[in-house]
Amino acid sequence: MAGGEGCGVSEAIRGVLKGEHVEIPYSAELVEKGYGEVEGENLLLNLCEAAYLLDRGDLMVVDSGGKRISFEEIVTLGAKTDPDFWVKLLVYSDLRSRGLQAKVISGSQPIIVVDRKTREGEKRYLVVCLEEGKRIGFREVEVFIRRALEARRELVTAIVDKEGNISYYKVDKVIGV
Amino acid sequence: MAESAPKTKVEARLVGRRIVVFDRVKGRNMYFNDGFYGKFFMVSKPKTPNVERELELSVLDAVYLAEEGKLTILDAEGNKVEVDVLKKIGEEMYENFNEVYIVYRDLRGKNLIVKSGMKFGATFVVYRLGPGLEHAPFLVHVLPYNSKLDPIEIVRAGRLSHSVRKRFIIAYVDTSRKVNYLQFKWLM
Repeated sequence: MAGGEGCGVSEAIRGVLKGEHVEIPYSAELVEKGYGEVEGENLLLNLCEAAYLLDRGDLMVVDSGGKRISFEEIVTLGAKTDPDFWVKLLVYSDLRSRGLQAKVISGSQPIIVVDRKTREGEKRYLVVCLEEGKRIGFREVEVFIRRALEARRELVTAIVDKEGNISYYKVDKVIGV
Repeated sequence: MAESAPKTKVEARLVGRRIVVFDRVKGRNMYFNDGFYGKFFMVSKPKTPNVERELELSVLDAVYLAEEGKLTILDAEGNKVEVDVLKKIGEEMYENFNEVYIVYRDLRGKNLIVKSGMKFGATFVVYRLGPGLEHAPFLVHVLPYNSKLDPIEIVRAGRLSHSVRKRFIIAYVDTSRKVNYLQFKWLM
């Protein structure tokens, strides 16, 4: 199991799979760490968060009938509606294991926002997952640049190779060359 | 440097598809006193400004200098070669000549020295002061706007800039003919 940031829970939380989410009881600690969306008394984890916490042993998931749901089942479910699910999970897990607060943004683009506390203050990144071999045009790059600018975040590309290795590169538009 | 910037137009000769200034004094002046254009025949890196050799200009240098009114190019018969003809030669020699030239012009317009970056694996190596005068030039690689980058090329750009210790910038010309410069830096 990967090291890095734990969610700080000694015993696995019990979550119930509801459609595309896993419902767990509200936890101030998890909310503070950037997990889930609060809904009433509960916290709704997306499948990426659920898969990550499940893999760490911090979460156990059951279906409405009480049957245990495995990591494999969560991943398979996630990939059914989102072909980028595994790539997002790879990058998300990598970022989390580096101790960074990450949040997958739902939508058609594989985007994860990251907040990183450094000595110089907080860094805010908009991480776009790009796969080796999947070419990207300048028009698309421009869309990402604009999006990062609007969100007041620095644009970072997470480049995922054929084996799932990840390299991160910051993209800057140079104005005064 | 004793010589002043050229007031009289320099003449260059079209030798096949290559452009050469045969007047050694004017060539030397064009290189050392006016933006380090071209390369001296058989001299790879001039160390002192007393070179006495023919100066070969790139077709980009030639088009730019001709447009700036600093250069006249003559063909084998001694007839003036118009800029349009020169650009055609460029287009024949260079796949994306037009975009490369727009970037060249943009950089020269910012008072930067733009030289071939071939030895570094990029379109241009760009200096603020000039070759031999500084250690921190940067690389500019021109790509067509409609080309598509394999993300692995982003890694290559980042790696290259690290290994040659030079900023590596990708330039492209968008549909409004504006030049855009992108820099990729390794984060983690």
